[in-house]
Amino acid sequence: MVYLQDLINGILHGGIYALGALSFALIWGVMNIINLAHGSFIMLGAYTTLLLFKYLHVDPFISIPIVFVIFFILGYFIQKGVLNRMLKASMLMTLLITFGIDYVLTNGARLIFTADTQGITTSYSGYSFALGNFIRLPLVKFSALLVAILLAFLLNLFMNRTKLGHQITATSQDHEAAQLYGVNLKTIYAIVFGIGIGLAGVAGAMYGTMFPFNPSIGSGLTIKTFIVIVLGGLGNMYGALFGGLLLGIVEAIASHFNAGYADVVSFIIFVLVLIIRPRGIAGKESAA
Amino acid sequence: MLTLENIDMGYGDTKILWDVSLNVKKGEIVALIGSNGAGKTTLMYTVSGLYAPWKGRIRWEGNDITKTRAHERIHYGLALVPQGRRLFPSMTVEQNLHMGALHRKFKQQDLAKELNHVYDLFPRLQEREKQLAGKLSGGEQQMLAIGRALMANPKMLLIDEMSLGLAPVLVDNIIISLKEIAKEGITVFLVEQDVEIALEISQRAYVLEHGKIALEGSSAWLYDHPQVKEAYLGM
Repeated sequence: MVYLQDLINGILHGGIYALGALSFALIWGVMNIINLAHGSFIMLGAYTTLLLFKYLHVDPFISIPIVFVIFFILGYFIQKGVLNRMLKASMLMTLLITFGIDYVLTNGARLIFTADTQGITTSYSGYSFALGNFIRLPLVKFSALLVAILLAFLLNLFMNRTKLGHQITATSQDHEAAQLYGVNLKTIYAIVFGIGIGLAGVAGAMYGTMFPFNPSIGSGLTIKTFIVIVLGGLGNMYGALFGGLLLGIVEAIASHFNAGYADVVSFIIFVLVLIIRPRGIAGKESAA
Repeated sequence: MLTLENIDMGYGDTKILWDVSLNVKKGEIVALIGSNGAGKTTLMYTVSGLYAPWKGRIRWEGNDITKTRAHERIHYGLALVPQGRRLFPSMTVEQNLHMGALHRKFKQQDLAKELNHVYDLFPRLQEREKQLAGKLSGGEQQMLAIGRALMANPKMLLIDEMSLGLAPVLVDNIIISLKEIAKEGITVFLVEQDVEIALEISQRAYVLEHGKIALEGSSAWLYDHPQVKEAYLGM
């Protein structure tokens, strides 16, 4: 029964990982940018939600659309102002640039919010449902998982059913051919980065309601995002969802024995997947 | 209709096109022939705006479009069928065709009408409507690439190496369709390695050698030209 509770916790945590990975994979898949600042945008999402909660008394779940819009605009202009200027540069250059953005965000957050660990505690933070006699379902974590699933569903709908979504898909498959048929590459890239960062911000809002956070959590989250994508496979939305849930479960069960085991076990699995099945557990053949 | 004036173009330090000038008039079928590496595809990418020329001008219906970006040129009615088809492989045939009409604003009904027009021309595409473009045969992919360009309602079709990698019988079919397209009043400018095919379809042609225009004239005249015969037709 104790393990069942770990399994439940793992699934609930996995939703956040999935949302982080989904947005990371969107940016990577369409633009071939590995956004090393992704985790720091998640961190910033948590702080933005904290500010909205503390000073404007906006409930963290109500603030989701606000955070999305703020972070969409932020992402849009970072792409327009910085990354679009490097479209022809090598992969190494975009890695360096996003690494630099990560530094700015992390140290900027230290400057503004101090390095202290904070949390978002609402009136319902401690509430949980009982499932049977032994298992409890924490309300906040359960809602966060629902939000992650809902957003994954909406993103899928957007990509498959809208004209803009088709433009993004076409661009990811052949950006030159897409341009020939009227796709404005720089605008599409800015929108994609906006959506990606918007979703990272929302992942941060959810993270903030579940865990304590400080300005340094970004790089660790970026690495976890990476693991999730390796587990799930790139180029497939369900892969990110699957990888996220898997990482959550592995961590929860491992940390049942010792909190330090969570990272050890997840990295061992990460390396094993890279060796045995480099395209990811749910990845398609030559997804890239 | 389309005029290139003294175009120089290349990549990095390598100059590919040297002072290329040519023009295509409304309603014509014009071919650009030349061997591998002569710069034909580079010229097509320059005309369609994916690459900017180093020097020279591109005029379209009297306007200077040298600086117009690729995604805007489709609005002028300039549609490229690129070498290697360059379809969107994980999208269906229908979605690929829709992408061709992306920049046009019209109602669902009219879109269906346009689709049917393409399907009349290439009935095979209708049979494969819901299949992924990447799963089509080479000939079907070429039909889809031309269909996608037609969905853009072009005034001029630029076709780069349509015969490459296709069986002769398929090429013949596509040539018949192409002649139908030209009859509808769409100007065709094609780049072709297979000189025999190119001279058969076109009324006028240019010969590109090492990035320079070496010869130009009516296709019938070029067909009998000793230089062309020797270098390209193997006679």
